[in-house]
Amino acid sequence: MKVEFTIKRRPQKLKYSNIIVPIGSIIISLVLSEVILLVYGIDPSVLFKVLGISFLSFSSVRYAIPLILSGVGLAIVYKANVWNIGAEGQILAGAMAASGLALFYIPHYLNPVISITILYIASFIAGALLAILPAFLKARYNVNEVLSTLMLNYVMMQIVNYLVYGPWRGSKEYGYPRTNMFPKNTILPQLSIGNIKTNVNIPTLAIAIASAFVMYYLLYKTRWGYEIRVVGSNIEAAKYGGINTSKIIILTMLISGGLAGIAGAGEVLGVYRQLIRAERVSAGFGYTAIIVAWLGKLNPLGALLAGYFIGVLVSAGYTLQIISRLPYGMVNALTGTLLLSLISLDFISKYKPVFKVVHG
Amino acid sequence: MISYELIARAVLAGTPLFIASLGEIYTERSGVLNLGLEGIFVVGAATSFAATVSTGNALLGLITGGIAGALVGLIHGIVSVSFRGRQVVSGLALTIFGYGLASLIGVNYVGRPLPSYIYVSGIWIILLLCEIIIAVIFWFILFKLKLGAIIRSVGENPNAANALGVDVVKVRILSTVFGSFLGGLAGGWYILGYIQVWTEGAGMGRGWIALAIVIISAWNPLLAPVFSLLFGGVEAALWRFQLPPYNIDPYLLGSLPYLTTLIILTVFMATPIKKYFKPPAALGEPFYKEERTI
Repeated sequence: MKVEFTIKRRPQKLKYSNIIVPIGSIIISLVLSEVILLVYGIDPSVLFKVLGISFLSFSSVRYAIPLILSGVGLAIVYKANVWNIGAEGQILAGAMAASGLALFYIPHYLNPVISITILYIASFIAGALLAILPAFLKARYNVNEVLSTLMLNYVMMQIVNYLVYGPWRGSKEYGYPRTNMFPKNTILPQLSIGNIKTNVNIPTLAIAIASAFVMYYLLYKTRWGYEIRVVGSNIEAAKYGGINTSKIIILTMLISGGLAGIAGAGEVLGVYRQLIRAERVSAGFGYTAIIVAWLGKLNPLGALLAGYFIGVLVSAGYTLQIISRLPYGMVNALTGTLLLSLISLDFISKYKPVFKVVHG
Repeated sequence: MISYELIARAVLAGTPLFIASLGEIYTERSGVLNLGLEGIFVVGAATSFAATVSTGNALLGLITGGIAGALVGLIHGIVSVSFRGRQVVSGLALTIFGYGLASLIGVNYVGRPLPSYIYVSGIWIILLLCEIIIAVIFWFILFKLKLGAIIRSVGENPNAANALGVDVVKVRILSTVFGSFLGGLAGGWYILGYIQVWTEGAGMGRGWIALAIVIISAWNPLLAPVFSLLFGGVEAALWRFQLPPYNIDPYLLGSLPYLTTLIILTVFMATPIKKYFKPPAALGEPFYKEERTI
């Protein structure tokens, strides 16, 4: 007797798969996290306590801001089947542009609203500029954008570190690798409720939420959005239908680079109020945002929800690091598993495994 | 400027890149793009270090790193080949997972001394010769033996290969696991034979460079040692330029390997050289069997 295993495409996607797939993936990755905790001899109930606290804490919102901004941008660019892995570097480009202008160019007497508007715009442009190079190389010469955007992440990281260790190192910072604090008219106000101070800055949060709605509108209600979706689902059909694919590649890269750039400005102007070491500014948000985009099913509004949820995980990860000395890598293991489960379960929602018993 | 010492350092720095890119060439020749190589490299580095500290035997540590890499690579095989997940996404997920796994494995080993390591710095000429011989063997298997023909057929035209009776899914998964084994081994070599210390994040970025080497080597094992040596040389030269009389900022220098990769990739894609560098035709494309038979 032999058991044969084949796979059949389901006539229709599994019912409720849009809900089952993300929830199932979250459960799988949480189970794995519990296993890791057990291996390291930590009480498994800690995870749920930490997650529970994180769901209600402002620090989750603080981490959600850069994740939503970058994740929404990545959702758009991935929808067009363009693989921008450079959000990490684009965040740094935005942070660097905002810092440079805030420290050296914005006059101290300038109205805060005007100066902050300038800084946001500059950071968008900086992020977009960093994305334009790989987009152009991809559109013109078909250079693999995964590698080109990745390489630029490392280049940006080194440049920012060069600046904070070298020419931009602050004169009032006792030799630490960071710039001076930004002038008052260039920093973003942080939310405080009564006596509780948080490091959530409302302007960037508002931009993040607005970007999700605007991009949703762009993607599903405009001609550009239609073209983006056609290029993503079938590039040959798009070319045949007269869509300028190079334009779509560059447009989507511009949007995702720009939004990541704004995330960078939010970090330095709203959280740190100075430029610090690259690893701490971008802090892996650009890579984690890849998971945000996929958990949100490449829908900008989905990325908004997913960004908050991953923000909770990131916040929980830092708490766990403090109370149990588990490395922050725990969050990477968890989110990596989440993404792997997402695409595996997505397969099961489309295909049906069939076991046949063959006699003889 | 190019001295005996610089070449020696280039060989030492290039060896892990060589091992990783050789494995990835086999994986990609079978039609599977494994962006998880970066994560596999880091996991290999962490497990090799942990295993060497625990057992006191560097060779055992190195092999453990390879096995860890193969196991992580198996996930990519299942998700992207059996489950037909997008290879790019599955690979990136694996890299993020690998970063996490490596730091979890390495957390108790930070700052621990290595009891045993791979000593190769005195015999770098022999090492270089071995690399060339290995590259020739890998080339021979890939282009002159039936095994290689099977691997390449699955990467060029999986439907035709399937019609001729090749088990496409099996060949692709095995090629991925084999490539990942070498990826893990490369990470181990990086730790035990090159930097010889464990710090959080050790080995990050090397896997990406190995992926770039695969492209500019035109998926040909014979060219892998050449470009590995080149990138090893860039890394070795960086170290030199930090010192007097050059005194160039280490961070600016640190961006050079990545800029070099980007520039070389662009040159290869944007000039007529491109004609000689054709990727496997079905690279990155999932294989659907049942839709042809039903």
